[in-house]
Amino acid sequence: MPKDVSQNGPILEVEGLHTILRTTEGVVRAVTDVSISVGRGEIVGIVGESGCGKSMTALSIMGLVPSPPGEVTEGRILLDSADLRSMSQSAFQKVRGRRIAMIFQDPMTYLNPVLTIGTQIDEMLRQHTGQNRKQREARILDLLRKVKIPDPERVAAAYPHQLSGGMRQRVLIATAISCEPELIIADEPTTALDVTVQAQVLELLKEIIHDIGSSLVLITHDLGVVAETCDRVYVMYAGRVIEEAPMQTLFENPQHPYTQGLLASILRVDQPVEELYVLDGTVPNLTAPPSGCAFRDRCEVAMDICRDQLPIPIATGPCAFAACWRIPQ
Amino acid sequence: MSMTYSAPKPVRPTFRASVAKLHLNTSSTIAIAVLIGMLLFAFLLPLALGTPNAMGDLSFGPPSLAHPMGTDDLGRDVFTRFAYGARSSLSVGILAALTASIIGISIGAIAGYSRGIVDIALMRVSELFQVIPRFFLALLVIAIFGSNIMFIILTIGLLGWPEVARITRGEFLSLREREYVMAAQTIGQSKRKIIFSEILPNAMPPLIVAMTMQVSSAILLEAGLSFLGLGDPSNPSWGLMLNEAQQFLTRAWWMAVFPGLGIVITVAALNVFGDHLTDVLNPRLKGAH
Amino acid sequence: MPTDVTATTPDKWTDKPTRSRSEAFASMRYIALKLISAIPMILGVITVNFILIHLAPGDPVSILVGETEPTPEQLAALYAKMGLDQPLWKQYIDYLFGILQGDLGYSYVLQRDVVDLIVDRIPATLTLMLTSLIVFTIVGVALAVYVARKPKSAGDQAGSFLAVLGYSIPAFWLAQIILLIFALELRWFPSNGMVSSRHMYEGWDYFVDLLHHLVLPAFVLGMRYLAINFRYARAAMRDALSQDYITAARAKGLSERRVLFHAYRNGILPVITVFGLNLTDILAGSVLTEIVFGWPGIGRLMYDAMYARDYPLLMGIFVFVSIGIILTNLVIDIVYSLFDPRVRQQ
Repeated sequence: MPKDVSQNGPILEVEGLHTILRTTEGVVRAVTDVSISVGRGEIVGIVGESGCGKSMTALSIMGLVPSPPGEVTEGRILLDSADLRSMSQSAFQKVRGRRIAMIFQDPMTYLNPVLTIGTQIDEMLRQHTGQNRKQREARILDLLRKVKIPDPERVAAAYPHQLSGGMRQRVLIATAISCEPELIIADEPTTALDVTVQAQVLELLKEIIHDIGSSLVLITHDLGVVAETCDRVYVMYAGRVIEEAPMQTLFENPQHPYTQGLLASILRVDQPVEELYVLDGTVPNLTAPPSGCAFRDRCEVAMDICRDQLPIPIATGPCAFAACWRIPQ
Repeated sequence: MSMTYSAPKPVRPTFRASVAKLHLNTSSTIAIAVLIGMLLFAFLLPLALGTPNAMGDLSFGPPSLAHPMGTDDLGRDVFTRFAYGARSSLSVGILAALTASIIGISIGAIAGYSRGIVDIALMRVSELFQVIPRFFLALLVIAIFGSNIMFIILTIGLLGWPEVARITRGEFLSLREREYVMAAQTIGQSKRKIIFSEILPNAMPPLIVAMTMQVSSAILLEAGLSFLGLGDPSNPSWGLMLNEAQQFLTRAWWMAVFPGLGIVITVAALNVFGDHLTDVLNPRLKGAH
Repeated sequence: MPTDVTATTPDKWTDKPTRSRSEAFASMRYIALKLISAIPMILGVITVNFILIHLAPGDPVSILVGETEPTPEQLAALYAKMGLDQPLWKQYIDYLFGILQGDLGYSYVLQRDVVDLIVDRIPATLTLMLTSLIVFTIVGVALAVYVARKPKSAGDQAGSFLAVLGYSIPAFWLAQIILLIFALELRWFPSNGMVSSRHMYEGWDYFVDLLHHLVLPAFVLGMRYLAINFRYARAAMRDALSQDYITAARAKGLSERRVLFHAYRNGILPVITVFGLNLTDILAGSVLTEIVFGWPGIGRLMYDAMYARDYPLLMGIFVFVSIGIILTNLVIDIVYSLFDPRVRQQ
């Protein structure tokens, strides 16, 4: 159900985002010149290996880059045309949770171990809605039911360590949707879970997003997750977006060698394990990013120009771009 | 956030690199300088000075050029006694910490390596020693058996081992599961060889921190005991000087101020140094004890 | 997608939330375990003391009697009680049961039961310790919570410097210096005792007089509480503030105050256990402070006992204080488990 991005204007637009981390070893360029847009009701994936700047992008949008050492140095982040970066702290606080919510990777560490589940959902409602205690209690149970948690009364009174991983992730989802935000950013929401539970949680997330009509940015290293969920995909490498395409296009016709490598490394049912492609090497050190294309050292088709010049994004189809010198102008 | 970056290029292990590994900052540099200075002062200067008990004509002389720290009730030079006091206090601190470390490492190694009943029994005993008020027991023991400097060192050392034992045991429990220890076991190395050549060297970093802390707490404990009059009168320590100063507080402040400053500066330097080592060796515990 | 999620993942439901009944059971079990583990500790302390009496040079009776000259009846009673003709294990059992029944021995110097002597001094010691503890723990923790939000700031550096000093200054020396400046030179506060001996105050005046005497010793003792609590609370707050759930709380758009609330509980909890671990050091400091300020507490009693070679009293104080520490730690563990649901599960 891909929707036309231009219908009502995008809910989120990120333009030229730069985020750095000042460490003892030097300045890490975690996010460099990233532009992303998310349409209303759209599910957008951001894919890449760990350390390529996905999470930092998410934290930058939320205004939660840990400072020190981190800092957003450049760029515009527009939520429904309002610039988040120029907002005051208190105005931004009203946006977080209510208009943009976030779901994190490891539900164990992102839930406070000494507060009950009910309290942790309730504080969100208390902050953002004018509901009284009774209404909020009913709402909490309602939310827990919505994320298909059986026996919601019991779970609301429980502490995080008393729940299974899948249940905790459902709790985080319930918290995120409690104020029916327009945008949800999910950072590797299924990575910490069992494979069987992963599929359920993903399905649930999709269903709920659809229900409340919000948009979703799904950050993952798992292209399988993207294939099942997303409308459109951004591929990130070394802090930059290197390819952007509708999901179908990306899977059928990947343009960037990195994307091709990622896709080739997915285990498919119709493919023997021996033929599984392994992407060699690691993400470069972002303290001193290499000149030219950051992927060139791992690229099998690198050319001379890749060493010296940064590839510029080139349209490769409708709503599709890739930054690689191999793509014909 | 799961951001991993490739490690910076390995540096050749030169002397400069190993000093750099200490990540010295201002406060730890000062601490190390103070400690080195204090050690030189304590163990070299008394050789150049006269006996600490030489009495002069001037009683209760305030600090002057001839007597930079003044003179005491018997006309003895406080500076000379301060230098000798440094020697006593530091010796007690270091030797007691060594005693505690030897006992603690042995017991901790046995407990951690054997596990089972032996481990439980030894750890119970060490827990007991951790809740027993060290100061009270030391006071009792020395009051009963007499205050001889060797005896004081032994008592303080005997009371300090549980902390070292606990750390050693923890390191042993985790290290004995490591691959290189397993490998040594499979090729049939003797237990003793494994403990001394494989495990102990790797357990050293946290133990060094523990020993530093032992030295500082031993100095404080000795000072407390001496202050109560349980010090060895033939080896005057800073604590003993403070004991003598107590009754002349109004007449001769210098008798109390200088030995006390000696203790504070030495112990503070040890603590800062120990904290710094903890930070460097175990970044996760940053700021904690 | 199946409507009933649980049906597809039965294994994930083995650790579903348990009702408060088993939660209560876990608490009871935890407390029972802690109580049982205190018993060998107490036996251990008594054993150490017993060994000391028998290891001491000379025969045990002369140690206990010291330099006093008890009446022949007293001596005969002591010999009978110690049962020196009995086998050692029998002596040990008798000694053990004596102590467990509250018999800490008899002071031949002061001609009174050791228990009575100690009990007389408890109010003074507790007055000093608790006042100082409460005031300076609050100050230390508050300071830590305040500076933890801005690491490396001037306030943080100053606090850390103060904490190192608090750890490194011998209590008795600080006591001497404070006494010298504020009591002997400036004469703002009395230098000795708990109440004025020249006047007999009553009611409100008595309270003011007590406070006046309390200020200096409480401050000296408090420096240590301040240092300990500042260090641990700061480290715990720093740790709590770097946790993922703090990021999550911020992402929820909670007010900064509410975000800090998330850190408080986890940040302050360790302070409780740390107090238990440092109790022995704190008591040592308390004894020395009492001695310098002539505070009529257990520390002063111990000092006098030491000079009079009153060994039964010294040993009695040792046993009493040790058992006190063990029991305090027990209470601390239990209180801690009430605050942190995870502990009870172990």
